[in-house]
Amino acid sequence: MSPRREPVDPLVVKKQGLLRLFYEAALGSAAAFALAQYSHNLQRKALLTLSLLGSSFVVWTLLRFLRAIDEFETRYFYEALTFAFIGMLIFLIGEAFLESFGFSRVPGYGNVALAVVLWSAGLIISSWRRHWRYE
Amino acid sequence: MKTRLRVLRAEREWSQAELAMHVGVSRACINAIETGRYDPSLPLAFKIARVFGKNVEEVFLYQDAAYASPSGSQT
Repeated sequence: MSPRREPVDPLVVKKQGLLRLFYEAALGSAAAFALAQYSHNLQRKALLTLSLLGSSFVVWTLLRFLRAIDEFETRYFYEALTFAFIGMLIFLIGEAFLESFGFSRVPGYGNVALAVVLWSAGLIISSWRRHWRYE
Repeated sequence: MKTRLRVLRAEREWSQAELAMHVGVSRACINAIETGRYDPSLPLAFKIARVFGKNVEEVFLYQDAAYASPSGSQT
């Protein structure tokens, strides 16, 4: 007798798909923005527009992801957001402190990238904690 | 809060993943509720009870003796 197969939850597939889209769009947007720095005139404008559209899509996927997760996962999502927020606060305070000693500021898009990285790290830490606690 | 989720699930031969699909939450959420590590919100508790065709108090049992029995507080 074959072992019982677990059904594929469409909600899980949707959440995974949205997260994948989020990271793909974020990477694409960052790549377009980076390329725009080395381009001129029309090409630069086109790349910046593409980057802006990509960023809007990133925000849209994040909002869709928020709507797809359940109340239990929301707890972990907010833990990750708290982690990213505190990390950004520490980074910005450190940046302001170093600036007073003559160091240059990190560009705005660098801060955005750091926020995404910190949020991702927070999500990974939360999912590890959840895995060890509940699974 | 204690729960009869595991018993009710076993009666229907549902896995945690199947129950999660019926309720519309993640399997980890069902697991956490079953093991008493997470107390669901009232809407979710009603939703779970409805999936089993039961009242919420037949699925979830409040453990605090002082509140569990109204007659207990009169002594």
